[in-house]
Amino acid sequence: MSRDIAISLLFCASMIGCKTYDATLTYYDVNKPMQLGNFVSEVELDTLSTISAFLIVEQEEDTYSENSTTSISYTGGEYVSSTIDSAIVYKLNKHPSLFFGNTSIDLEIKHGVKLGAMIFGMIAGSITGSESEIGSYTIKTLTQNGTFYDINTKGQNDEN
Amino acid sequence: MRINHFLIFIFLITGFGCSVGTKLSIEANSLKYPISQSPSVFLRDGELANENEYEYVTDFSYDFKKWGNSTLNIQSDVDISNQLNEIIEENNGDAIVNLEVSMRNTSANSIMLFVKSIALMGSMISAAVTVSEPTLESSAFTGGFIATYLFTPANIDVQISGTVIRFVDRAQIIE
Repeated sequence: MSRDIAISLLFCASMIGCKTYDATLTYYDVNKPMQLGNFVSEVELDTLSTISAFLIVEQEEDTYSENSTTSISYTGGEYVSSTIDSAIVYKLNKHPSLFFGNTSIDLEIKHGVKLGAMIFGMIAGSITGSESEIGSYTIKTLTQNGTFYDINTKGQNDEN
Repeated sequence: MRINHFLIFIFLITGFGCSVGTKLSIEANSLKYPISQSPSVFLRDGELANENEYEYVTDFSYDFKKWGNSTLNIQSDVDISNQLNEIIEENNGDAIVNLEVSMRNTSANSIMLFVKSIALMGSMISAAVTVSEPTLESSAFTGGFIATYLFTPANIDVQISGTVIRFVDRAQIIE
């Protein structure tokens, strides 16, 4: 009975184990301003469009179990999808008159457990007879909000 | 072995789609100085200040933690204007460039996930008991488990970092 309880506690403890990952929004390769929040401008700016683009980073814990003769692994990993490059960075770097302002950032984190990875971990553990990590996942979503402005509007109007 | 089988069965159920999360919106609505996420800054007079028009003063970063609940879709709003204004003024700077926002999961979320899984498991079992043998106690337990499931919070660690700059020609700044 005590052995059952000990194994159960180990099983529960494996659920608590947690790796941490970082997800960062950086724009070192953008040659135009991306101004945070409200700003005051003394020149007229044309508002072109308001846009939201996202960066999603999904990490899965590896499920891995082995003893001296058997090794079973399930490859987790990191999956990244983003619309920021195409929706914001590309436009800013391509069009010389664009400026990105009134920016804000939304963050969302979701931490959970997937049924498939749990089953695989338990099967792997029962085959090898040793402890197996149970797959959990973390999804981090960073959403970049902002407005495109045309900064050459005043100069072009003056020329006209 | 019954305990193990029972726990495995319960975790199979609770693990299906069970997650904790939180949402956070970072805004800056009362900035006194230009803050840019890229290396260049837009000035009030319509000019752009690039890397050769300012000097680096110092790098900075600060962290904060925010709790929330994605089950009930509760989103927190954080205004970082005051912190950024103070950082610029403390360093006698003119603006901030390369502002970065980082986020990371926390160990507490794993504990919260475990609590939420237990709450889901408990609510399912106690709901079944309540339906078969309705009593005040079983109803109270069911309500408690459901409330725990709904209100289990999660948190997020956020780091704000960037570089304080000073313009080479300070006349560029229009007060």
